[in-house]
Amino acid sequence: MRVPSESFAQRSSAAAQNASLQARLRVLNGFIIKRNLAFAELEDGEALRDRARAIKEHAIANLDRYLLQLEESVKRLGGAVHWARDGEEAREIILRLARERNVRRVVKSKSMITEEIELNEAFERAGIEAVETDLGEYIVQIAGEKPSHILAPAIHKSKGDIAELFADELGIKDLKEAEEITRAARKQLRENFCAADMGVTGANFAVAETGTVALVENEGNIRLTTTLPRVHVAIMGMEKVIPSLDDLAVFLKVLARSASGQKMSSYVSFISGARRAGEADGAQEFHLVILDNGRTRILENEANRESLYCLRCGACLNVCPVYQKIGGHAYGTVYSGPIGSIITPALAGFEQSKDLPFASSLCGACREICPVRINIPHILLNLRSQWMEGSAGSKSGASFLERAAMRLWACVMSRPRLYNFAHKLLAAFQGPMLNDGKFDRLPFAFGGWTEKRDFPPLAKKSFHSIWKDLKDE
Amino acid sequence: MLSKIRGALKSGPRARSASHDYGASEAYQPAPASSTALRQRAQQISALCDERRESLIKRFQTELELIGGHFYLAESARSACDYVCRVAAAENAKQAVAGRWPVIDRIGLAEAFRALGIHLAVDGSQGVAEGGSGEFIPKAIESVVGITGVDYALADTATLVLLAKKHQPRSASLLPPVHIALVEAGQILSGLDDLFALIRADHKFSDEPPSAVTFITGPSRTADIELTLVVGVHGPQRLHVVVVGG
Repeated sequence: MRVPSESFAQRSSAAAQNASLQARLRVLNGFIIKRNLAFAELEDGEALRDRARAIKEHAIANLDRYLLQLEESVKRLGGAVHWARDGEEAREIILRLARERNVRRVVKSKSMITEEIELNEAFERAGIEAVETDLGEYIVQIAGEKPSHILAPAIHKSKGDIAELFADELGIKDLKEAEEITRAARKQLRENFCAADMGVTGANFAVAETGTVALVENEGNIRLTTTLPRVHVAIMGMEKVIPSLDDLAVFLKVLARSASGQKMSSYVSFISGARRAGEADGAQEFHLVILDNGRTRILENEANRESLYCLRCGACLNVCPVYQKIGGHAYGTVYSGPIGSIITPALAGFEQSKDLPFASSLCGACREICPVRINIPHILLNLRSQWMEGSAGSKSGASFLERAAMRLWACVMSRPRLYNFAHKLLAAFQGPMLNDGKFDRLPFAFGGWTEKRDFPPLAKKSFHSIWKDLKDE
Repeated sequence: MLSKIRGALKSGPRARSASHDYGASEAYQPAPASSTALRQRAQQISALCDERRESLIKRFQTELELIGGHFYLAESARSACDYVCRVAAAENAKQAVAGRWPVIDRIGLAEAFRALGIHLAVDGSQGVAEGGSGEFIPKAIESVVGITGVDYALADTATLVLLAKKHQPRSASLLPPVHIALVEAGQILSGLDDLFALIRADHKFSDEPPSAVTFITGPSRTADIELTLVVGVHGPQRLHVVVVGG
């Protein structure tokens, strides 16, 4: 998973100053309001969230057992299971399947994991036409961009942008309203669906007990992708497995509500293998690809393990004040927002994503809204300290100066007499450095602190000396 | 790969995250159930739904209309058939597709459409070859209206549940721009919990799951363009649900 080299600081600055992006991102608040209403409508939404978390905890704690059971169940249905250690292996598997079956055209449904492994680029290199069928993904594909939000990939584009795109790239002119654009896309993609040899989907959940892949959507493109082409390939992160069919009752209740405030999304498909004998539609072959790609690294790290519980609902993106200001592209990663900030270090390597755990005010809104109650701020702090201490084999992320300053600070703070002396010294000389009673500019490397905020002055008399004076009185 | 996972899980003591006061992972037990227990539960649910039929129908209607579906309560098989014909006529349908659901036969749809000059292709019947030869799909693509029955309907979210079977193809409710679903009043349950209990008892799901189970909740929709809601994307643009009483 590659991350662009331009720094996060540059991209986020640019995004924060982009007024039209800001206007479009503000609409995400609507999702939050709807989400809250949808949960309030449930008899006991909180208990449901607890239950969803408990299921995920159990599934992840017994991941090896359930993945094995999933494989057996899929095979029993006549499907094939392929294990991929990383993105490259996954691409190879899927391309080999395509080649062996003379696949020329592929239709894909929205799947973050196919972005993660850069599948579209691989298809292109192999001369296979792969078309995104989710409207938002279709739009970003035509534009040659990456999706900027898990649920609404083209949210950063205005309808004017999109209409222009359709005119320039597809030759379909004079589209103005969202409805017209959608009709045009429906017509165009219908042809793609009918001509496709292979359909590629992700998986929202994979049921170990029955070998069923559950897929949730609103547009109907997943239904078409799994009904018309002769081969269906579903690729899943290994953390998507859940123990039993009944667990879906819990997840179906919380997923759509968290994501977009709907009580139920328009379509849910449970796919268990290929079509049965005598059926008129459905794929003739079913393949499940189970992907690691760094997830075992997250699994190993117990403190961060719960990030694997993620349902990819997108609620944390919607509620995050940082995401709302800078949008998904500024993160420069496949997974953006709070969840992106905690899983990308494991999936893409720390070096490439070091800014992300720091780009948070730790307000905790993400934790409050997460349907499986992932403690994102806690994990962000863990990642920060891992980076600073240079654990997991890398050297410390902090500069020599920062480490030296911290050591000096620790030294002074743990020696009361030294502390008092330092205080008296600094308090005596701070006068000329203050502006309007505050430090608005600290010298040397400390200037980084005061770039965006003031630093309070040292008190003229320390508490210690005031106390001493009082006692002596 | 599995051994790598096992290794990762074993590293260190059992996972207890800091945010932890919601039920330890030990507390979760996947639900096993004897088939007797399943049968009993299924019977209880069916009995309860029978009792509450009227309120379930009303709830279904409310929820369906909230999400842009059209609801019709047919007192008789005849009025159900008339409604379907009215919709087909209003859509200027020349071609329609359906599957073999008992309810479709019950309302005499084939004869009614013939009388109206609407060509109805039913999967598995004469003129539409069986299974894999793919003659149903092209008909579905050309059709304006697709008519199906359902296996279950959920009142609290106005969801239709269809299990794929021979002669009950998925594309009948997917390809044409208009989907008309005929629901027997007794098929309406209160919600997902009822459904999962019944689906197990009725269908031996773990042994032989159907190739697909499709939940349909309203017409297709998207908000991908500026988060503006547009109804009718790749799936049907209009959904009619006819509850056939009597």
